[in-house]
Parts: sequence; C-alpha cells; structure tokens
Amino acid sequence: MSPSDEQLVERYLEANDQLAFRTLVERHQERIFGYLLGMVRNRDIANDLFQETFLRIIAAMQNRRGSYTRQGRWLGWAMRIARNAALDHLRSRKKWQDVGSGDGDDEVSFWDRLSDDAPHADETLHWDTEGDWLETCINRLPPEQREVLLLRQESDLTFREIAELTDCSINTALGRMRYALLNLRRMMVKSNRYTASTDIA
Amino acid sequence: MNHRLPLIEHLYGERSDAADLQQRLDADAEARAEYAALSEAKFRLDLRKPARPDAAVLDQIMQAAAFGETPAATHTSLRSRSQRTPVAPQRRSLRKRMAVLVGTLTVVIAAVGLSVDRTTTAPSDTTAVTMKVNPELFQQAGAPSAVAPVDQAATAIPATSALAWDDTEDVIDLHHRLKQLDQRTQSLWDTPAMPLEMLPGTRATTAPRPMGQTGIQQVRQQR
Repeated sequence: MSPSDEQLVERYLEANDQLAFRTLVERHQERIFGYLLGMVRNRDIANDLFQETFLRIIAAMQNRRGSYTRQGRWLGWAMRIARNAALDHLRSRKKWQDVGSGDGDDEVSFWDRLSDDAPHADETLHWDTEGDWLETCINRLPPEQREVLLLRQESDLTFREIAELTDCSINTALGRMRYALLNLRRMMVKSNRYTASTDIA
Repeated sequence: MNHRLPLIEHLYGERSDAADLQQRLDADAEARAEYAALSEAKFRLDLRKPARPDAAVLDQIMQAAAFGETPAATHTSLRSRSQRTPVAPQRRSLRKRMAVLVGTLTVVIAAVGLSVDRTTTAPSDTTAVTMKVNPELFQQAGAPSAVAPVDQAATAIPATSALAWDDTEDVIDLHHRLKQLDQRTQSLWDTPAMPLEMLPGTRATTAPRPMGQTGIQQVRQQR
C-alpha cells in the first residue's frame, strides 16, 4: 500500500527523505501542471509556474513562511499555492496588457486588436489531433468555467474543494462545471465531432 | 438549487446513490438528454493525455528540496528573460564592502607592480635573434650530407623568448668580487697549513708574542 501524501510530507520534513518528496511531486505533477497549463496556455510559462509552485511549497513546508499547518488534504493546499501563482502571473500579464498604446485611442487598445476568442481560419487547419481540438475548445470557455473544469478534470479536486479554493458556493462550482461541459458539447456539435445519438435543446 | 446540478455530482462519482440518479433520469426526459450530453463531453475530456512538466524542472525542484534553496535563486534560473521581474540589489554590510574594496585594491597594486617589474627587466630590443647554422658542422658531426641547410627564418628565435643577460653595473661588480674571492680561496685551498704571520700580505707583528723589554718600552713611549 502506497503511503499517503501526508505520510510522505512527514518523512520529508522529519527525516529529510528526498525520495518521499520526489514521490509526492511525481504523484501530483500531472494534476498541478495540467491545471497551470490550462490556465496560462503556454508550456514554458506553465513550467515556470510549476517550479515556482513547488518552491513555494518547499518554503512553506519548511516553515519559512509558515502557511503549511499539516492539516487537511495536501493536494488542496498545494493547489491553492498553484492557483495563486497562476493568478499572479495572469494579473501581471493583464497589467502589461492594460498599458495603452499611447495613441489616444481609448476605446480599442492595441492588445485587443491582436487577438480575440473567435477561432481563426487557419486554426482549424492545425487541429491535427483530437487533443489539439479539445484544447482549443477549452481555451475558448469563459475563465470561470475553464478554471472549474481544470480543477475537477485535471487536478481531481472535489466540487467542495473547488468551492473552497475559488471562494464560491458549491452550487456555483457545480453550475460552472455544468455550463462548461454543455458548452464543450455545443462546440462538438458545431464541428461534427460528437458521437452521441442524443441531443439536447 | 438547480435540480440538474446533482447530475454533475453523479457524473463525477461524488454521489454514490445510483437509485437517486435513476429516479431523476426516469422522471425527466430533458435531464436524461442533458446527462447524456454531459457524459459525452466528459468522455472526450477523459481521453486527453495528461500533461507533464519538463524533466529539467523536476530536477530543479528536487535540488531545491535537497539543499533548501531559496525560491528566487532557482526560479530565476529557468525563467525566460522577458518574464523575469527586476530584483532589488542586495545590501551588504560596511565590513563586507570594505573587505571587497581592500581585496580589489590589493589585486590592482599587485598587477601594476608586476607589469612595472616586467617592463624594467625585459630587453628593449624586440628584434629577433637569428641563429645561423653552418651546414659544415653537421657534416663533421657525421650527420647525413643530404641534410639541407636549416632555413634561417625557421630557426629565428624571437628576442622575447631568448634569455636576456643581466648586465647592470651592480651585478657586474658583484660578479667580479665573487670571482676574486673564488680565486683567493681556491689558491689557499690546497696549500698546507701555515701560521697566519706567514701568509702573504700580512705583517709579522700581527702574530701574538710574549711581551719583552722592547715591547714594554714601546707601550711606555706610546703613553
């Protein structure tokens, strides 16, 4: 029987067991990295944020910052750190994007003209695999729905944990997930990529 | 509460009451269609390949975990330059600053001293010293006659690589003194032992002798 997350953390902190920490990282790398990648949509940045997340985790566990109280589920605690890292990055990028072009055009900024959420004509040509197409669909979801979908689907958090993490009610989390899945389904129907015989209104 | 929301919980296994799900689906045709649609979307999502971070990132994390590295130190190593945030310079104590300053000054003084020493001792003539090789010497020494005369250009040794004579006056004077001293000691080395008063250039009065009448008289006269 494999040791629990909390047991691995205990081994790492008490006996400086590096193997225990590596097991912990490898056990959850896909959950944390998948969420980060879905949030920032850039692999290099996701790598940076993943590293920053675990450096924060190490520092917190070693009581440098004292936020780790050894209570509750370790993954939920780690995902909070990952989410903060992702939001910090997105906020900093938004600050950068909020800087105007300086030409006095307040209604439409330079950055807004660069891209939009609508699929580009050449985008559909590069959907080589089902995964690529699905990634594009997920990226086109509203941010709140996308985050709940990533936290449930990638990070394997329960809806109660998602509600706590995103500071909303469990019904809100469930509602966002429902709309996320239904929106994905609509995109499948539009692109003739669905197989189910049933359809919804 | 939306009566469709429990379908999401059933879909993700957070409600294990199968009878409740069946009852909801049987009672509402729209709920049944929605559940099928949700299942379809979830099925597609479950087929996605999980994404993993780069191996180098994992190594960096393990290194940080092993050595307790600070977050900023390792994090900046992997971040691209465009993503890095400006880091405030670390403030050092006055003692450390002074130590660095003294060390730097010492190195500069040593370097200047070495360069001055080299310029005074190095020969000013930088022309090349050419070794002329006589081919006849090779033939006399039994070397094959087919040996071609050595190219003078090839045997030219730059002056900087040749040994320079130390021909300052002090050194020449010291050399002469050593030579004279050496000659004197060599000439005395093999000679048999003799009293000091018999050595050349020494006066006979320097030897010890019993004080007689004449000696007493000389002392009295001196007084």
